[in-house]
This record gives sequence, C-alpha cells and structure tokens, in this order.
Amino acid sequence: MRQTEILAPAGNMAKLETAVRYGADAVYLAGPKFGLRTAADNFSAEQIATACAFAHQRGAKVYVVLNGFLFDEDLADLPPFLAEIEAAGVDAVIVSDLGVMRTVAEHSRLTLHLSTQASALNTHAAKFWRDQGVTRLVLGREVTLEEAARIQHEADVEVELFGHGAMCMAYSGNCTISNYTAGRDSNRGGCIQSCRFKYRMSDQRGGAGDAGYFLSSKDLQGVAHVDQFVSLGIDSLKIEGRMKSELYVATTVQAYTAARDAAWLKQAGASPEDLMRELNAMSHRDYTNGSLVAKAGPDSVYLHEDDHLPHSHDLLGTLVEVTDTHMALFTRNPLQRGEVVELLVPRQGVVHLETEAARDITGKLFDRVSSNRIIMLPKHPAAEVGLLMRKKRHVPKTSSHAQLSQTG
Amino acid sequence: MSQKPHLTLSLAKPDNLNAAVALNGCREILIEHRDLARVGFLDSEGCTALARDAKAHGLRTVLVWDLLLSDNQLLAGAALIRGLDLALFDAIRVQDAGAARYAKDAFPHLERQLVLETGNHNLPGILSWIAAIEPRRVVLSNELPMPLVAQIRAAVSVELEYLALGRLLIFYTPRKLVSPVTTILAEEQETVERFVTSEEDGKNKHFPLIENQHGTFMYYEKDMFLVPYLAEMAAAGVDYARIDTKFFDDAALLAALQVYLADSGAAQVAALKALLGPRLTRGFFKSNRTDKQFKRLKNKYLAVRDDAVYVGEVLETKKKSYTALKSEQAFAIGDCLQLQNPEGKVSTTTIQSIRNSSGQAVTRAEQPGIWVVNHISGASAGSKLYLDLTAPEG
Repeated sequence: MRQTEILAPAGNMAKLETAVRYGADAVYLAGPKFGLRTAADNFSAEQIATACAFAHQRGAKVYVVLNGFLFDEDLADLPPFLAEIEAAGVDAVIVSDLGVMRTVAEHSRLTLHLSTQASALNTHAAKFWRDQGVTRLVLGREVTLEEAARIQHEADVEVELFGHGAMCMAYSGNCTISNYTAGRDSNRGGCIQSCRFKYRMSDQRGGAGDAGYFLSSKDLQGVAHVDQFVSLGIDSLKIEGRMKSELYVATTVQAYTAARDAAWLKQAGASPEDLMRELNAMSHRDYTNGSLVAKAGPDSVYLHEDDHLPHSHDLLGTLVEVTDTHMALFTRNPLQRGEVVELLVPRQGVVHLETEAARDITGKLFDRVSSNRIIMLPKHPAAEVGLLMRKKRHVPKTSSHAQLSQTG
Repeated sequence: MSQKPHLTLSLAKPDNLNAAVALNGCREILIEHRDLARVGFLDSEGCTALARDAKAHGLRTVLVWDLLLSDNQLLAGAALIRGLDLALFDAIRVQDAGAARYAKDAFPHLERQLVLETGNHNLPGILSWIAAIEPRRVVLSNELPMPLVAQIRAAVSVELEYLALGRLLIFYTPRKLVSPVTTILAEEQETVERFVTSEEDGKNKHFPLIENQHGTFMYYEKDMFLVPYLAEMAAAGVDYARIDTKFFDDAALLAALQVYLADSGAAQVAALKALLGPRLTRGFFKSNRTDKQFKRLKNKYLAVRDDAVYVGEVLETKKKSYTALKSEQAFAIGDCLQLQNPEGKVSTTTIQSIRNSSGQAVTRAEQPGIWVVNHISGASAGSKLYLDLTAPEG
C-alpha cells in the first residue's frame, strides 16, 4: 500500500514554495493558458522549470493543469508549451478534454491524470479513461471514499479525491452559467462564480420569494476522514484553492499532512478537533464533508451567511530574511507592538512569539505598523525564509471560537 | 426550397405524438424514462407505449440515458434497460463515459448517440470519442458556432445533432436545491419547477430550475430559438435539429412549428415565439468569443517581465526617506534601475545608498535579501525593479 499523497494548490511561486515547505508531497499549478483559473497569477514556462527544481529538490512532485475544454485554435498553441514543461521535468499533466489528451500523447511523453472536470464517477468511466492513456483519475467530488476505492481496485488505476476546499455545486464541467450570462467561458478559466450569488427563488418568473445562496456549496473539509483515505489506499488527497492565500495553503497542508502521517503510522497525532480548529483559523465558508462518506445532502448547501462563524486568525506576514540575530517579516496586516503572534513551523505546529522587541526596518521601536511593512523580530531557532506568521483576529465577543463550524 | 435538417423531438406529453407525426421533417422521438433521463416524465410502461406508437408511425425511437452515474446508479439503469423491450428502440443516447462504454459492450445492437454537449469543442477530441464509442451520432455542444460545426462535419462521417429549440441546460448537480428550502405540494413532488433571480446578475433574468430525483437542473433565462436558421444548420452539416418541447405546451408549439415550416413569415415566427419563454437567444450559433475578456482579468504589471533583468520587488517605501526592497539579483551604488509600479508607470532611478536589514551601509547588495536604499520616487509596494540596460555606463 502506498502512502496517500497530499496534493496542494500552487497559484504562484510563493504559494508553491509555501506548499512544499509545509510538507505537501505534490503541487499542482497552471501555465499561462489551458487551465481553469485565468485570474490566478499562474506560471510561465520558465517559472515552471524553477518550480520543478524547487519542488524536486525537496522531494515533491509537480503537476501542471491543462484541464480547460479547449477549442481547436487553443490546441494549436499547446505543443510548444508541452515541450517546455516536459523539459522542465513536470511529473504529470492534469487533463479533462480528450483532444488535449491526444495532443499531449502525440507531442510528449508526459504522464496523464484525468481532471475532476471530466466528472468520472464510476468504474466503467474509469476504464474508459484508463484506456485513453490516463494513469490517475481525479474523481468527481460526488464520489464517496468507498466508491473511489472500488473504482481504483476494479479499474486498476490510481485515484485522487478532493479532501478540502471550495466545491462546485454542479458536476464539474457541467456548468456554463458564466458562458451565457457573462460571455466568459467557465471551462476555459473565466468562471464568474455565479453559483456564489444570492438568488431569490420563486414559483414563477419574477415572483416574490426568499433570497439565499441556493446554488452555493459549503466548503469541503475532510480532515476527520483522512484515516479512511489512508486505510482505503486512496492515492492522493487533493486540496482545492489555487486562488487562495498562502496562509490557506500552509494551514491546510499542515493539517492534512499531520492527519495523514498519524493515520499512516497508526499513531495518535493531533486530534481531528484540533485540526478542525486549525482549519477554522483561515477564511472559509461553513464546512461540509461533501460526499466523502455519503452523498452530499441538503445540509451541504450554504444557503445563508447569518450563521457563519468568522475565521479566528489573519495572515500577519511572511519571513523574508533570517540572519544570525533577527528575522525580517513583511507584513500583510497591521500589527500593534506587544501583540502575540504565531509562527507556523512545518511539522511542528504553532510557535507563539512576543512582539515587544519588534522594530521597523530603520531599527526604531514602533507602536503600530500597517500592512506592506518590514518589521524586525529577534530570531527564533525554527525561523526560515518563507515561513508564515499569523495573528488572532479581533472579533466581537458574541462569536465563540471554541465552537467549531464543522457541519454537514 | 432550402434544405433543412431532420428533426428529433422531445415531447412534454406522449399524447401529443400525433403533432410530432404531423410535423414536416420529424424523423425521431426521444423517449425519456424518468429513471434514465435527466428530466423524464414516463415510467417503463409509458416509454414502451410511446416507442411502440412512434414506430407504428414510422418514426425512429431513441432511449435517453443521459444521466451522470455512480456505479450503483449505472447498474440500476442497466437493469432497467434490460427489462425493456429493446426491439422498440433504434438507439440509446448517453453522455457519461462509463454509460457509453457500458452501452457499447452490453447493448451492441443498439445504435449509440453520444452527447458531447459538455465541452468537446475540438476535432481531435471528437474524433477520439467517435473512435472509442463508435456512435452513430454525436450531439454537439451549443457553444460551437456554425463555422466550427462545418469544420467538424468535413472531418467526421457520423450524424451530427444540435439543439434548435428548447431550454438551454447550463447547470447540472445531483444535489437537491429546491426542496430543502421550499414547501412542496404533494402533487408536484416528483418534479418541481422554480425560478431563481440574482440581484447581482440582473433583476429581470429569471432562470428556470428543475429538481427531481436526479438532482437539480438550471436552464438559461432565455430559450434557444434557432428555428429561423434551420437551413444554415443544414448547410453547416447538422443532420438533426433537436426540438425539445418538454417544458412547453408541446401540442400548440408543434402545430405552430408546422405552420412556420410551411410558411416562414413574420407572423408565423411571432406565433411560434409567443409559445416559448419571454426571452429567446441564438446562443453561440454565430460566434463564440467567451475567451476574449481573459486578457483583462489580471494586472500584467504585477508579473515579472521576461524582457529585462529583474533585480527585485519593492516591499516598503517612506517618502523622502528610503525604499526597502527584496532583491533577487546583485546591484550596487551607482546602478541605474528601471522601476515599474503596479499601475504600469515606468521611471528610472540611480542607487545612491544601500543598507542591509541590520542598518549597515554597503556599496553593493551582493546576496538576494532585504536591502534599504534611497527613496525611489514613484515606488510603491509591489513595484518591480529591473537593471536599466539602456543607461550609459560609468
């Protein structure tokens, strides 16, 4: 049995480095075209080579998403890009369109993974895609863990399942709202997230009715089921979110690798409650376990924002330099001198730090700094360039962070 | 008289088969079982009766199995199909890759019609599907404009189908989105219709939503109406135009269509349109420019240029005092640097002083890291610095 891979999103180089530093076994990223997140920073071919070098040096794999539904004119641009990423050493490409698959097979020896965008949901579909040259299926989010294991066994193909992150409400690849309403092709990277809009529902056109987020899914959160990913031999647990922040990447990778390692080694690690608390630290919609255990039900729909619990922490910043004596932090949020901050240390967790001795870049003590500033803190032994710091949010006292927002 | 594609029909009520039979050009009826089709109103008995009647009138019959399926659902669907008299059906229509593969193996004598309406916008992909599934027909995506359909026509020998009239499905989920938030009357429990309107997307756009046992289906607020363009469709190589009347008064609509096909006048078109939703569309029939806005989605000035030597990024600046930057390339006092801020404004500056993060003055920033230099006019966080190779030496 192989250890379940933790696969993290890399929307840009900083996020890729964050994912790898915090323990991801593999990352997925997109080039300038051919993916589904045109608004993400994404990577040039040269950056993909740098990304591969960085990841491979640290034992992590790099998958490149080519999962748009492409037109012939798009396909024409693909072969030169394939040559570049193959030379860069990418470990696989993630594809949903048979035409892209054919083009990849004809112009490279790149390993093919099937994107969830193809909505592969059953064993016969898995065999179909396997016969097209795919070695791994990113199964539809509608597939349960048990079904995924059966598909893997019966189709003799690797399977990957989303374990965390935002979810399309529609079967992936089966939503073209943006195409028709905004003139932006959702399946070539232009999704405007219409499912996240608030809608009024009525029994007639233009009638009165309640308003709510009827088409919006809660976010998937499967940290309590990582032991099943491991025991069932699911090859890869995927974390969604190439548009999400570095704090999101670090937090999710930390939580899921901790859960995976504990399950793999059959050791007691951090409790699921602790890991859920960590996952509540960053911004998210209410959580659901989606279809991991049983098919997603009515409680997996976001519906209303009124009950949503706020996240407990904000990103404070990233360490940009560490010397023998100090560490320089580039702030992304304001800081009052004296606030306790938290350094996220890979595979160790959270280290609390005082900020009384913090100084600005000119060496002066400060009372408060805004975002986009460099502050100097005494060096902590675990500090490395690229690690993240966070701080607790100031939230109204009516909210209770002790309560978890795990639902569904 | 210009040529038109054959018509394939989905009916609202099987009782209105006669209207389909009477329709000029109608060759085929889609038989939609409520347990096999995304939206179907017939049980096995109803399907059998409709298929028998249609065949008796010389029409072809197509069993629709266009759901996306889990393993259990696929097995259940297959068992149901085996229980039908398959001699009554000329073809089976599938979308799910697993169902398509299964149908090819388990029902080899039934012609396959493969739904490629979700994506599948390029010829290599369509050819690969045809090679793998060996369908008699493919149902093309309505995102393909006719010039691209014509290119596909030139390259494939299978029949091509394109939706010409009906609701445009734009969203398909297995989750139930209506019943959890709506009081549903007992008599409408099997299939529920609602309309959703978003204030963010225009208060006059009302999207039909259908919920049934298979999940929820959202349709575009405008109905597809390509009936005036049937000749163009035929010219592009479309063999079958689909007329999907199941959400309309099919008897009236088919009668109006019959009149229109005999005499395509303005009054006939108006009569036909009046029986559809209040807003109609041609979809992407003429052109598809849904990738044209992508270039505007990102700030190109935040990306590192590949036509210049990148020195680093400005992290912090204090007017008339200093600029702090994170370097990736060595630089020194006297170097002329080009700055590009996030708004795209470009300026040049000469480095006059350099200090490291400990405050020590140096003449050269050798290692990548944090450096504090003289204030650079126009710099803001995120500005990129490049070596100005055009500056005179010395």
